[in-house]
Amino acid sequence: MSGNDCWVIAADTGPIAGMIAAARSLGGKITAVAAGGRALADKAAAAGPDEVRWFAPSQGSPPETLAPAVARDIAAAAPRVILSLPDAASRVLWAAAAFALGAPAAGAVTQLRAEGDLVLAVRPAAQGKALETIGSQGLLAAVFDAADITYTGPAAPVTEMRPAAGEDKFAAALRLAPGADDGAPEESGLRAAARVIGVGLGVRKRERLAWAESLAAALDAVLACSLPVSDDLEWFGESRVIGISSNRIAPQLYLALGISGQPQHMSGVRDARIVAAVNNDPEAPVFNRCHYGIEGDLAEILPALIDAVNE
Amino acid sequence: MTAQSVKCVLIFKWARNPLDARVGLDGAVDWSFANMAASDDDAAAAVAARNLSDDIVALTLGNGDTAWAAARGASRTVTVPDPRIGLDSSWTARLLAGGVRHIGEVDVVLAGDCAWDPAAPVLLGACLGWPTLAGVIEARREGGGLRVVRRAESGNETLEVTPPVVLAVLARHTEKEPPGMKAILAARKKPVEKMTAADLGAAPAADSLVLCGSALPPATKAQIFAGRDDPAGAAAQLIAALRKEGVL
Repeated sequence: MSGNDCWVIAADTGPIAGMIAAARSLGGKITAVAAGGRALADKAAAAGPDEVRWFAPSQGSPPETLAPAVARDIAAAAPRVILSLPDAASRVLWAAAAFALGAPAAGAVTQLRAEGDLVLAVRPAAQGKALETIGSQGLLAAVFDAADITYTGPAAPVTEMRPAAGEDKFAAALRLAPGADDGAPEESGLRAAARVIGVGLGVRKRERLAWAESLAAALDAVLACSLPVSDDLEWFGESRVIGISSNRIAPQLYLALGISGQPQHMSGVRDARIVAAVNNDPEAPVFNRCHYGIEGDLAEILPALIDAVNE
Repeated sequence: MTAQSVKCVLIFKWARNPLDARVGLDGAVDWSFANMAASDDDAAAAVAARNLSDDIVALTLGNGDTAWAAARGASRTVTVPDPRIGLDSSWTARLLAGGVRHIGEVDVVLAGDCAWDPAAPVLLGACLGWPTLAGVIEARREGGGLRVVRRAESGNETLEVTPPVVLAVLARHTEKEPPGMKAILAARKKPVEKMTAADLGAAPAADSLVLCGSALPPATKAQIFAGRDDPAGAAAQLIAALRKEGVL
């Protein structure tokens, strides 16, 4: 185990700079593993680590095939802490390294710090109703799941790594299907939109969608929805759903209409700059997760918002 | 795996339901009310297992309804009634890996890719030393292998997969067709095998995690406008605030 050194793993886009900033609190050297294309390696290098070790998957292989090579590289360095982005591929690589090190593991941590001989990690518990601090006197492997930041310092050097002989054993088992690129699960411009309006069950009546559409037109915003509005009411397709297992977005403004604010949904807008909400329930969790809100009846507030924008 | 059959292990009820945990005024979390529960992701894993195979063995941790997976197609269930799940997700994974090894020749292991514990399913794959895919939203048999769609940050990706493999399945919605009473009653007659951690050869990680504190999240600083008595005024205030923030 090397001091409080930390290795961070990125095999997809995500809050890399936020993860590295959290790791900085430990005081050790930070090494980023980028498992993917050169653009991902460059993104990791620009996010503030001390160095980047870039593993490129072989042609037609997903990043997960690099698990044996990444695990061997990290185990050889024997860092105290290893962190993963929350996406699917990063977690698989992280798990291989965590197991190789024999590290205890925790999911969804948001902050880290060192205190005495402990490394401490904070994570939401009970669906975000509390924040637990967990500690380890030895190693810690954790999935990082918090907002990203902007890092403006110099880029770190990138070293290209290659799997050793026999370390590509998963390449035969996992192959990207040729010609089956499904593309983005959304085609609505949702992820790139500067302003997004989310519609929840609190809108209640489908005819009120026309107001939401008018407000979206007035604000130059894209309409989206919570999962039940797509899944149960079928007012929108799946591509418009915002949530941790659907679309995660980072607009300048997210305006939640009649959305209660369950963690599953709000995790999808965590990187929004400003979150505003309209809800008739003063106890709605969304009011604990927004910057601005209106407590009131959507039937009255929506037309008033349209008037206010057009004034 | 043969051309005719794929043997699946379906893992269910392996995490505590955080919705049942109680939080005190001091931020302390009481997990004693939080039972091991099936998540929506477990149900999605069950659907994926049924799409892949008729030969499904279920694996679960803790007490509770051991017939959950049997009512969804599993022929039998292996359970670890006293799993002593704590803070360390690698312990969960080690137990589950022991269970999979105990079940024997297996082609595909499916578990919910559950936000309650995003670490354990991928650690399970690492414990087994198998190729692993998380964020799986669809799996079906094609040719001599599997065709799996998983969610990446940039979109969906389709993969051709040769077992053995661990698939962590992500739910896109709540369970659409839960089993009826007839299936549940029939499931309760299917065999259940009880194991201990020692039976499964599971050993904890060398280091352990300790709970060092718990607190309420920081109070919100949200500015809430009262729209019940004055909708127009509240709307004007919100729009003015958003313009001042520079987001309109």
